[in-house]
Amino acid sequence: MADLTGRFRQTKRAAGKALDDEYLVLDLGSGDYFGLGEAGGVIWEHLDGTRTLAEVADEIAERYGIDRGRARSDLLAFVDELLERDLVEQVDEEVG
Amino acid sequence: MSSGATSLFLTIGGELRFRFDGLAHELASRIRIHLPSFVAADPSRSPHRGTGRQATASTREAEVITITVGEPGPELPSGGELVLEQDELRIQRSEELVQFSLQGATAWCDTAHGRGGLLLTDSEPGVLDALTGLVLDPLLMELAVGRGWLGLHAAGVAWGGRGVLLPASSGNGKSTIFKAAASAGLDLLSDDLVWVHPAGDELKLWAFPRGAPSEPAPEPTIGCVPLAAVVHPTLSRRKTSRLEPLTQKESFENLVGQSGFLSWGRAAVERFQMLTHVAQVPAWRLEAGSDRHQVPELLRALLRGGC
Repeated sequence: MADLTGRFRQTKRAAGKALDDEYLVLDLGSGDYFGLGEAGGVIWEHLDGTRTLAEVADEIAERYGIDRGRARSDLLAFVDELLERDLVEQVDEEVG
Repeated sequence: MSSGATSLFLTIGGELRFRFDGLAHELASRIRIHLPSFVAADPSRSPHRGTGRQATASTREAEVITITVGEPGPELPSGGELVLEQDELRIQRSEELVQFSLQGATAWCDTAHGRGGLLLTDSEPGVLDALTGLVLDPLLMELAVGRGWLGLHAAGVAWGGRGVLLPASSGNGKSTIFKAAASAGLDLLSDDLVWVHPAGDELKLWAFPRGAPSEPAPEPTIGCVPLAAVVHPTLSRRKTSRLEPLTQKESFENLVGQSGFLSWGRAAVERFQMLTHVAQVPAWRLEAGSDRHQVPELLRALLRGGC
């Protein structure tokens, strides 16, 4: 499970691209894809292993003017789903 | 290559060639009789290169992808997985390696090194037909995408120097529309497999006439044309055919199923990038009704309107 102190990055099985107003993420292994809204696309781009989830959530909260606690809980749920699909992975401490 | 072996070629215009090396002469003869789109000489070395209706005014050296015939492929590394086991076809893969097997033939492609192989233990027409439909297309598509060539299960037609890509699964009207387009005088690329390749800022469609004789289709009348529109066809019970605009995401959703994701390494990333590029081309859903002979006129009007 994801936690706010963890740093996560996209795996090699995932690729993302903005189309129209949506952001598409494709599981390269299965060909399955899902659409993220604009904020989801921003989060996806931020999952590069350099920031903790707390830092990502706070940036999203500020950018979209939403409650910080809500942003954090939504982000954790989102990253848990990506972990389940093997589309993101946790980065070792020393890498961050 | 030994003196007892020869090569055959499948070509995409003057730009990309698949060279099948190491074929026994008898097998090469059988393949050429049954699959006439295989040619015996590398057209890039021919003094007649650049003539004929499919000539595309390219003078640069063609890219060549080699498929070695008669040698078993590399072992699938641990962690390899079964992608498909259906009827006689079995597909296994790892990050950069895909293996196909069916009765009488096995094939593999190593996308990391851009090479492939084919082992035929039976060259009866039934095996060659199955090989063409089930193995050869995905094998070539997997190898070519690393060179920037996206193969799509699609028909391709053109009018006024502008191309329409018609991607669809079997049974959705590709061949029907292709034949109607032939009757209506549109330019023809291919009825089932079309290649997309970037050229500068635009995408171009390339013909690939390689149908098995059991399913004859009208011959291409043009080799290459800029891509102007993507039209996703379905057969409908409507009386009147109609076009409905699609979003980029909707177009991508329809395209992704026609592109064959197999290995999930760099080739898959390249495929994804190219698919999203194609998805940004203006797109429509075509419901082909009982007046299907009118579809070419709809396509013509679409192209005339500048998409």
